[in-house]
Amino acid sequence: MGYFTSHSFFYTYNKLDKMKLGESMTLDELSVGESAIVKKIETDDNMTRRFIDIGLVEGTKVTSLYRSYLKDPTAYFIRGAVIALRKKDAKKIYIIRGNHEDVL
Amino acid sequence: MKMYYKQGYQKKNTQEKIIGLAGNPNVGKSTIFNELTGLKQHTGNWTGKTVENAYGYYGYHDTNYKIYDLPGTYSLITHSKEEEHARDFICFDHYDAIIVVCDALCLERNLNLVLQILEVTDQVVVCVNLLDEAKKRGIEIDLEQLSTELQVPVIGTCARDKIGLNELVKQIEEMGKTPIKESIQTKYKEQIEDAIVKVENHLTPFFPKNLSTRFFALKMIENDQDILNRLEEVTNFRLEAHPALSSIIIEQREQLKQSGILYHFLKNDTAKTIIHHAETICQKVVHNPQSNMKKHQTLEKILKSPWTGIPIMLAFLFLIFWITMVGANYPSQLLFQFFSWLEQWLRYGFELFSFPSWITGIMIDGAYQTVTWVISVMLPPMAIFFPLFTLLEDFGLLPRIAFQLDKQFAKCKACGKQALTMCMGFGCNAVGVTGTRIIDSPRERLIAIITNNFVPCNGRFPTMVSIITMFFVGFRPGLQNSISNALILTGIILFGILMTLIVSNGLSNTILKGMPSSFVLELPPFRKPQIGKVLIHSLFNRTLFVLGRAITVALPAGIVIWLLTNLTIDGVSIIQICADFIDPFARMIGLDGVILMAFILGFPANEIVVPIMIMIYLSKTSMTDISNLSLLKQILVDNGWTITTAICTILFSLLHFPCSTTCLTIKKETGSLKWMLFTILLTTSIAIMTCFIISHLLNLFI
Repeated sequence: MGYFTSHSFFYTYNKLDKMKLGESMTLDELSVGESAIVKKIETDDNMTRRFIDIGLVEGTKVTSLYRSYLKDPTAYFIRGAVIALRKKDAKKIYIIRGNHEDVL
Repeated sequence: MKMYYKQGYQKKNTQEKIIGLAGNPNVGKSTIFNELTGLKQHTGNWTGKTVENAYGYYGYHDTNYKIYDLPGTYSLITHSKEEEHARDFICFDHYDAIIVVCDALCLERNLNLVLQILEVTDQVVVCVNLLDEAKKRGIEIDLEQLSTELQVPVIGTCARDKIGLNELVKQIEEMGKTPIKESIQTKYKEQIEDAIVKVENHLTPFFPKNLSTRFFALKMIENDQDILNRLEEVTNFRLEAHPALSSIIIEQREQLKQSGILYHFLKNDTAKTIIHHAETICQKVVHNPQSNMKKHQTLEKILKSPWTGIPIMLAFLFLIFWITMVGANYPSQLLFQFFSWLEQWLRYGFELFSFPSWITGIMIDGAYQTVTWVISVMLPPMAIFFPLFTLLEDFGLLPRIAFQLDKQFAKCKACGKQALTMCMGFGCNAVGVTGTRIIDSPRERLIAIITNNFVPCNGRFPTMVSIITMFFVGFRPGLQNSISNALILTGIILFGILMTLIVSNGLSNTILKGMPSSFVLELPPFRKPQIGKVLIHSLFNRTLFVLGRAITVALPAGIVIWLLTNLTIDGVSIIQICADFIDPFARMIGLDGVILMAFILGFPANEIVVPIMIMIYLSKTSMTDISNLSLLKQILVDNGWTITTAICTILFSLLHFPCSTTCLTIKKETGSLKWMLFTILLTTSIAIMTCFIISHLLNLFI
């Protein structure tokens, strides 16, 4: 665990049945109530810094909590806090569906 | 519960220790600060900075502690001026200890900041706050274990109930007595550690002793210009002055590159290592973190559903609106009566000393009347609004409203939180502009600041309402009339909102294009707000502060207005000459010279626009407030007012330049004169254009 979480995680992921875990997708596609692990974040430097601030980096577990009435933004549970992200930003976060425990 | 420390204590001639209070936003930092210092707070400006700082005192065992409430920040890598200010204090200032306040509910993320601060200094006390809330949710935190992991003292508190504060104060005293242990340091990848050590070795001999060599060595390798510039400002340390060091840094960057680490990305890389370090610590210290989200509160459930949530939020927005319109008027009236009562006595006093009439004129008819006018109209909405909004934000409702409205605003490239600052604008635009602090993305914040004026404030409402009554509705009281009055007013407000959205969109596609923009909105758990403290705190800190600003402008403006109306050339007052001069231009946009002149002189406060107008029309020498509307209408019609004039006056009032207090606040909040001037220019040209088009269109039909 610790720093190497993301690395060891990729390794195990490749070995597991992809169908069972769900395919690689972006955070905005995660349905409410489901959890996922962040695989990769592809956004500009400014937004990356914001994500780092709230502890959203590769290997972080994210749970989708609820969407706003107009379906955007969505509230996520990230490292003990509830954080709302817009769809356009969530699109840049690649995830693998499933719990930390399920994956490892 | 017995308190051992003394709030707000300031004993003369004893030693003083300096403490900084740092932490993420919303962790109860201010609660701890208020508990320790009492309500005696001082605000002032950090030299050369536009950010206010709050500090206070407490005493413990014959020592004074001066404690700084630093702005909430997620990390030492900064985005905003406020965060920069917290970082500068932590990295460069001289202090005896830093208290890092953590939220027990999301300790993991908070530890991130703790670990970053530990890189800078070992004089840290970690304070895990909100332990009671965490316990309710079944989260257990092993504070002793945390202290062992971090190698710094850890104190658990529930600041709201004053639990743990004595221990905190005691621990800070202890720190001064015992030598400080070396705290834990986050270990980066081996190659990075090697590079840091090599740079550090060369840095140590000539680097200021009180600053952390490890931290700055890393920043030098990362080439963090922001912090290196600040280092130069504070200590005169320039990297260019040390060629040997510079070449070692370049050499180390080269080596890192060979092992696949580019120094451009080093900053993010090290930040991630710290996050993972915090995660590792938390796994040992926090038990049961999962139950956190399962216990969702009922209130959250109610708000989540549109069927129950929308009515509740609308009700709150309506409540805010209603309080602006109605709640502020009554105290306004009282203040007004009080000031006119005082005015009589002042006049009496002036007569008693037989001052010449021009002194009485300048002092009472000019300065006194304008200042009291501004106070009576501005103080009530501000005194109501600042606390109300702080309460709703403490409670956690405001972020949720912003969450629901964000999509609409995002379409115009603005932020959902702007809806809230617009609501504040109904009370007072200066309040609305200050309120934009809740928007943390620079571009969206500027948009909200610049467009706030399109929301008519409490000072402009009466003008609009009376013109509508006079020219469109009629004077007879009745349900039908008040409904049509409300409908027209709603139409005007909607027009203002429409302009806000259009201008927001326009700005982000032109001038503000490329400004950094981000949206990360934290929805903190609902918390019971601390009513008493919030009220007093925001009343003294914010309201009186803004009011002071208002008076500094209103006072000279009042004198100028009096001089303009009373000094005459060939028997015509200067104000009349000015009004005649701008008359041709004013007529082009559907107004007349007097109206425009009144708007210009109404710069200190929009409330005085109508009184000035009447004053010039009647060629009087002091401002009068005519309460009889039919008489007022007669005066206006006699001076050539038509339906077009009325419509254009309302539109001009809605769109024109912000009042002087708002302008000063804009300058203060943006930290530059440029944005203030830009706002004045933009709003005024929009007002002129709109009035021009509307008046010409109307003239075609009428």
